[in-house]
Amino acid sequence: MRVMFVLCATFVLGMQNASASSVSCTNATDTQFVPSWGRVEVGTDQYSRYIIQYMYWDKIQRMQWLGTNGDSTFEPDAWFYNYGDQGGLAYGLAPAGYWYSDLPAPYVDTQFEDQFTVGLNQYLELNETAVTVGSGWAVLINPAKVYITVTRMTSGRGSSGWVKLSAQRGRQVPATCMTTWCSFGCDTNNNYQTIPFADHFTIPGCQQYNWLWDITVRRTC
Amino acid sequence: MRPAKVLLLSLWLIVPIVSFAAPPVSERIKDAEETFGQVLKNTPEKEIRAAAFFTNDMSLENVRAAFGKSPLVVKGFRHGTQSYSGGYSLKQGETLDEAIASYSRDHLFFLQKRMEIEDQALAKETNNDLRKAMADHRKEADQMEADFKKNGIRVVGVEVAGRARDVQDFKEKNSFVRVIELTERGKPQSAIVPQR
Repeated sequence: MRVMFVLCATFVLGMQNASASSVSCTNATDTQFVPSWGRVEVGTDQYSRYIIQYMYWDKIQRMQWLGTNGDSTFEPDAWFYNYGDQGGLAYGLAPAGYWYSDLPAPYVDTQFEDQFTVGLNQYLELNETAVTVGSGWAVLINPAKVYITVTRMTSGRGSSGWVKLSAQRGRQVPATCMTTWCSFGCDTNNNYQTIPFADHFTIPGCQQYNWLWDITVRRTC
Repeated sequence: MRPAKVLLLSLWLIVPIVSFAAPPVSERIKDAEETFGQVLKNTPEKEIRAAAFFTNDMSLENVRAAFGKSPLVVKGFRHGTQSYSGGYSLKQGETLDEAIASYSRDHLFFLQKRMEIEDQALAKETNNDLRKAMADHRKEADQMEADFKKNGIRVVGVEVAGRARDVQDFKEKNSFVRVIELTERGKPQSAIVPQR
């Protein structure tokens, strides 16, 4: 059954056109790609600020879309609140320095198409800044296995602040990229906030969540 | 249906998923060679950003030595195995020696941090399935620490900036370079990890 899903999905997806910033995907519900459980720790040491994320899909059905689309990608995004009101200014701006992950084919995601030329001021002006280590081969993610992403990041102007986590599905799009490893978010139902800003999760700190794994619940670690 | 036919049908169904699930590294390398080859042919003086991925993993010190007289600017390192990978991007003004020291320090720091977090999680977690998965993950951290203590960080690639012809020159002079892949603006670039 899994073989037929994979082959059919490949054929169908291969016929679709991709735009520059998002890409058409077959439909999926949140319980077909959002981790069943996750944990985030945002902290600092004498060298810089950092973020550590864990994720876990409890069974194969929970990752059905990822597992049956051969070009699927997955990004556990961390967004730092930078609106300047109650939630304050961003605690983190962008990945920098050391990083690693055991997600399949991990990469440090880039916030802008021209990140190499973007200046610090442009980061500071954004209302939300993203720090993400994603997986370029989400079809290889296994159920019942814990995964980790770690990255240091540049500091924003906030000494504390809010962060939200979102689980984003996407696809590699060779058609618009000269490597075969470009990841674009799906154009519909692609993004679920496993820890929303509305939770006012204040960092530095640690939170974990269950996403429709019996229940949806968030709590301090 | 006869057993032989069942077996053949099973193989026919299994083979595509095995080959499909494996990342097409050869295809990616071919693309990278063609793309870099075009740049080299048409604009050899062009300043580029690229990743040089290696045939085998190497120590940071050996990578450092290979860049001794190269005009290329090192922008970052990549490390990893088939089960995990990562890297280190140099900060503005950071020297190679400073970066190597920070890279090693951070690798150990985050390994120890991970162990601490996972030990705490194991003590608190009540779901048996998640506990088992976390315990397996914790064992992998032990193995990573043992590998680090034995071999240090094993580098599988390096990110560089410089003229296309200098990048090619570096490749020609260093047989450990497997492929040069251009780094495209804003596009993620996972490592090409040597097969073991």
